[in-house]
Amino acid sequence: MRIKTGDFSMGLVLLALSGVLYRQSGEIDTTMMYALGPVFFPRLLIGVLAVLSIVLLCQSVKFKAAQAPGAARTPVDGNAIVLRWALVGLTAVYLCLLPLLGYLYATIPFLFAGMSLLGPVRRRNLAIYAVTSVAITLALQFIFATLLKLFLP
Amino acid sequence: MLDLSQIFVIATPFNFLIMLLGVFGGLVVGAMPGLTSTMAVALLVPITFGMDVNQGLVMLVAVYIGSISGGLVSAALLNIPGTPSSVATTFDAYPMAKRGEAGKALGYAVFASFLGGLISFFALALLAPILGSFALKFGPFEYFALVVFTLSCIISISDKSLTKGLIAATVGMLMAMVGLSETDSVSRLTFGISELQAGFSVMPVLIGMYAVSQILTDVEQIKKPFKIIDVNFTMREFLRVAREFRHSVKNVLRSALIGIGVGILPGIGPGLSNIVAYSQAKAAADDPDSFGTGNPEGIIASETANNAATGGALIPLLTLGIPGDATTMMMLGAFMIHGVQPGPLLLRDHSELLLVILGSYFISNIFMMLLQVYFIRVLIRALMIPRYILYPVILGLCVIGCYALNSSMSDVWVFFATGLLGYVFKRTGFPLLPLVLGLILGGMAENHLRVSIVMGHGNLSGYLDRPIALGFFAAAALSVVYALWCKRKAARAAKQCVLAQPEEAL
Repeated sequence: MRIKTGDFSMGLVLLALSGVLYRQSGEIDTTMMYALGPVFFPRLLIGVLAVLSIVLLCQSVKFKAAQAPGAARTPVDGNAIVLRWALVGLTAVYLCLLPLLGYLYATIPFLFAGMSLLGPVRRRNLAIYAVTSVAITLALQFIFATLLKLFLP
Repeated sequence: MLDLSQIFVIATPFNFLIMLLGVFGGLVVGAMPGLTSTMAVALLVPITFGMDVNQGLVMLVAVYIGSISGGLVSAALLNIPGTPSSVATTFDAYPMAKRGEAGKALGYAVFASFLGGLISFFALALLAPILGSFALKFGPFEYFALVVFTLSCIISISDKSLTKGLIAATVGMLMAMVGLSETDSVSRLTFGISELQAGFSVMPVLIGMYAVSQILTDVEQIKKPFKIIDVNFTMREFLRVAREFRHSVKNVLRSALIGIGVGILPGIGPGLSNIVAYSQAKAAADDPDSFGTGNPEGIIASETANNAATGGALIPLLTLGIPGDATTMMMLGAFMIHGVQPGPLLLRDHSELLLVILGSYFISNIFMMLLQVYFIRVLIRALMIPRYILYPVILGLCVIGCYALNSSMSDVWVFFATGLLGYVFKRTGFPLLPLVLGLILGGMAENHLRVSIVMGHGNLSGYLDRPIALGFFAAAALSVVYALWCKRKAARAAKQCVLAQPEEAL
């Protein structure tokens, strides 16, 4: 017997989520009962989600690898994982700083840091990143705030 | 009836300018591998926020037309389809470009795109009013059944696992339950967070799901440069190729009809139409073996069908308010931001908006052809922009777009969180389309179910007197059964293949 880890974990997470949502659905005000009431449909969906999560769990445990002989697993690229989550972290920091510093002062460093993180870090590249970050930030500010009269953070 | 004189509402210099910019923006984004037409609409929607409804619709349609067609550039010159709708274009356009006929390959693809769009325009103009009038007969019974049918179609085509498709749709529908209920204004599943009282805004979720998840997936190959085939594409070459289309009338018509038909079906759209049209063209050809080696008929079939599917996909969106694919879903969200609620009432009460859409659809197709003929070099230059520069800019643009929606950081956080959720779903093999469709249709499904049960005196018996609703339920059941049968067949074939391998090795 083999376990498909990704599906098994997702099954568990979704089952737990159904439990949390079911508990939360108990807080819905049901004093006004009109046409099945406001709690019926969410609970129906929560029930469906719980059942499907169990089905997914069963399928992941029952799964037998029908792998062709000699078929190799795709190697995990550790560098890409670091890059990916660094980008996620950088974006989260940007979103935190955006209301504090404002659009201009938060976006220029974010773009520059993002490009430096994802691309090659050589002196020539860094100069391109700096110019591009400033130019794009200013261009977007002009388009959104000046031309389209939309609010920016 | 449509008052065709209203079509001239869009004939203003500013509208022409935004159409031109919209098509060009769509072409650029569509041409870049990994950036789909959905991403194009997502990135360019915020620009429409400051426009009036007509201008906003004009721009959205222009972006849609441009982005679907833009995929052909990278399909022909890079052997990478810019969008899923150009997958089959690579089969013949790239071999043709490789043997030194890149200009010819682009000529076939561009003119076929134009013809596909043109035929689709007539289908949209003819079918949308008819289907719209028919949809006026729909009540809550029919609408609930239609939502079930739409979701079943999308779940059925979701990658490998039906269970995962169903889970994604359920999660999406549960997200639609968050906030005040539409029928009785009762707060639900907000966990005490006041920002969630209004529920999830559709656009931040859609942008997050498609943009963030795509960028995080692409990070692995971000530093790989593209190898672009050099091209010399002139108007003279284009006109010479266009003249050769007189030998391909049958192929064009067949592919356009396939595109329109597939486009109308929920969840399928341009992404599959090109493959179906390609395989049909190959089956009907006298020399099927030449397909895949640079046969112009393959390019014509694929590009005619994917552009024809755009008009097809707009038909259910405009007449029923049901989006067919991720891009039209994004457009539905954008329409709603502009206060336009697609559906049968739109055609009855605001037929001028349909004319705006039709007019911009037609003109955008002409712009799409001209821009690709005259500005192909600019598009190729756009392909050369390194993704490590492009992706942070896209993220920044998405953040501004989500903020500009309601001038609220909570929409931005929703964008970010749903982007991560989308990435996790994508990594673990859960399809995103049922999730976002569930979010859009969840509220609609609940409202219509509740009202239909009240009309049926507290039970579901009312459905038995509704033949259209029963038809939709039957079609939904059939699509799921058919999908299960196909998956079982594929699994059996794969098992036999695995069992046969050791014998072959011996």
